[in-house]
Amino acid sequence: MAGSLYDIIEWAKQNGEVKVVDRIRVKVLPVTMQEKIVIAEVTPSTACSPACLDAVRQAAINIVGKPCPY
Amino acid sequence: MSTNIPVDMDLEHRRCNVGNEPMIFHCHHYNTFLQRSIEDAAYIDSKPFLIGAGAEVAYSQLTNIFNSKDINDVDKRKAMAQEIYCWAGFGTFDLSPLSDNGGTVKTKHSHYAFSWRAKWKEADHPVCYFSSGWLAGALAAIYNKPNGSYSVEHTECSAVASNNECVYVLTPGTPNYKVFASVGIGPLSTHKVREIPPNNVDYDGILSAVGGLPLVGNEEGLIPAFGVYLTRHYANYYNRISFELLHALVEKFGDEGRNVAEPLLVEAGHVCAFNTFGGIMTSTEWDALIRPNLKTREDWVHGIVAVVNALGWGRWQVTKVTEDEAEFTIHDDYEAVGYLAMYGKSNYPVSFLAQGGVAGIMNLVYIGDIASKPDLTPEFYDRLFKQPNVYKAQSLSSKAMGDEVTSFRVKRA
Repeated sequence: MAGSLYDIIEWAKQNGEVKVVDRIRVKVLPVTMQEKIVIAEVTPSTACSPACLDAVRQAAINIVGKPCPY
Repeated sequence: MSTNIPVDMDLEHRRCNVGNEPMIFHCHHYNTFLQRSIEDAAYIDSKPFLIGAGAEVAYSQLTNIFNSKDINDVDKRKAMAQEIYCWAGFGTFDLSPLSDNGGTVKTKHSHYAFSWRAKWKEADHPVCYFSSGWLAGALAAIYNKPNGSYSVEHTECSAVASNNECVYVLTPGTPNYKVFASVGIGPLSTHKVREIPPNNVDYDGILSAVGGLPLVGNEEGLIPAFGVYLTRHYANYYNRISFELLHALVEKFGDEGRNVAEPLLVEAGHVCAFNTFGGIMTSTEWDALIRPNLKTREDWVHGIVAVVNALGWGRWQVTKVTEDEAEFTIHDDYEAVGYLAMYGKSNYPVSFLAQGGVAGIMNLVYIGDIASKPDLTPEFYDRLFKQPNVYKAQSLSSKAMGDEVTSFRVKRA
């Protein structure tokens, strides 16, 4: 599955509820804190580990309720 | 409905107390949204405080009522407990199977389970933490035992697809939840009422009329009104679960924990405003009692603020309002009062429900055009509030931080 943190967040914003980013943020906080990433400030150049990417993707899928293309 | 419940209306502070517990109206949208937000932080062990807060308020309230009304007979105590639970809109309980050795309670009527299905469809786990704790606290009070004398397991929940009733098993012994001592009413102030702009709203008349509406549980212990399911919930329950989450996140992650918790707690207030205030402003009661006097959109803001004063949330005032911005002053808002009583002075504002609520009022009136009676659907909510330039509230003062009042400025972002 290709795609960046930014792609996943943007997809969630398009397809999810109003505060989807805040919900993803609270769900993955232990992982993002370890990598010093703030979900609300993710840009196209934000890099993270595969484990972090997977955690964010899973959180986004869980909240949006659809498969994530990224 | 029976008048056995000792309801103490403290109009000076815009509060309603029952058994020394402040009780406030909130809808099923707020109840479920707040609980889901707490459970989103799955790495925080929230179950002990979600249940413990329910035990805290039930134990405190019922102990106070049993003592003040000299109710010593176990059956009469159970009857009073059942009556309050139903009156408040939490559902129904038959407590007769319980003894001082615990027992099993079953019900088909639970506000939280019903609301979860109504708002989110089925749940993948039992959701009635409040009711679980409430039962444990009530049983301890009924049998004159300390709070925390029973553990409680919620073995079936009608919010879960395979279940059609809620089942709770109570056992004497070590509690499987956090035991809190209720702070009761908390530190209230003498309100120095602010001057408000000229308007066409009969504040006192609305307070009296809304306060007189028969908003009590029906035979299923539900309060369907204004397009939502209301509860006359415990301020100390909301405060406990919100602040325990906040503190747990701050303890684990420092400032980032607070940065993550706050938007969700504020959003819960905004969702509440959209659904409950929106439901009120499109209701037949509003059309009959309030709408005939409203001449401007600013009057709509005053009108709903007048209604909020009947919800038990403290004294709300809008001290400035135009389409560009508004300022709200809240005397003895329940969040700040509760925070001070539970944890002492705060280093930052904690009136999250109020912050979301005041923004919600402005968004309903000026962006949502509530006067045109839109359908208050999730799709409408998403369409309105995915826009970048909605109204947001900024804290101007906080009673929890030691200020005289809690106040907000609301502007479009």
